[in-house]
Amino acid sequence: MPSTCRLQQYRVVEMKLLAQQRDLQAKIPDIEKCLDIVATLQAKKGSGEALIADFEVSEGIYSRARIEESDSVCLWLGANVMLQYSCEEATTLLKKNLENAKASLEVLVADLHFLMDQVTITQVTIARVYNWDVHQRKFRQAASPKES
Amino acid sequence: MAGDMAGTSGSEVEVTWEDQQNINKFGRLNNRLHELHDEIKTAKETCENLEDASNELILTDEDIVRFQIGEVFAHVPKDEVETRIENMKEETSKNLEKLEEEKESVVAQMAELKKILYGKFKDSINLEED
Repeated sequence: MPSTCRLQQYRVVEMKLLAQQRDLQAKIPDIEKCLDIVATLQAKKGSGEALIADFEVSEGIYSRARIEESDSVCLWLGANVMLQYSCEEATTLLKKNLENAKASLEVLVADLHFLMDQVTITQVTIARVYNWDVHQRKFRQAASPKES
Repeated sequence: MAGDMAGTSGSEVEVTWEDQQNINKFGRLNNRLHELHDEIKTAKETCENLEDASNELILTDEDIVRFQIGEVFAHVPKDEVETRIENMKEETSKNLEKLEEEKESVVAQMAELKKILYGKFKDSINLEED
């Protein structure tokens, strides 16, 4: 029955969209964390003291780092590329990435809603055709004894 | 999925486009309700963690606290940590409030739609959770 095939196709697309949604939902807190750090570094700039931080070297192993005052940060852009930016430029870039991620997520959610509606309509249609068929059979059964 | 039409009586009731849209809306609201459930749970956990953190902060006698920013633990003076945790607590509780409000609105809308759909389709439709 082609409607059940259609339903399966919808399910496949739904899985893909849900996976994309999960990726985006993980990316957004990451970008927010980066923004937080850049903001902290910028705030420290005026004070004259270095920032001391403990970071993870490997699982369960931490080391201490001393971050001197600096005007620039390096951002990992992906694909083995890292660029150096001033704090202001870095904040602007990160904010733009955050905006883009949130906008993509919105579009994705809208697509998912559309898809869910299509799935519902298809399920209702399948049920209605089935009911109509049942009704027709009963009708024919009721009609045929009269004929014979 | 909640809301299947399991009418084996071969009912004669016509399903109009408006009915279909109501059913669609109910399905969407139901999904949103599940999402909100999870989001509220996470927000409540975050609130609890922040409470525990600020309690620990009061108990400790160190001047410098390791506060997690991103992936690293920065050495931050105790007062600044206190302020930061207070701000985070306020933000989380405001978020939690917003989520609870949305959940109430969704539940109300779903109750409305249930009334309308059960009114028209009676036994031919099932809108309960399985």
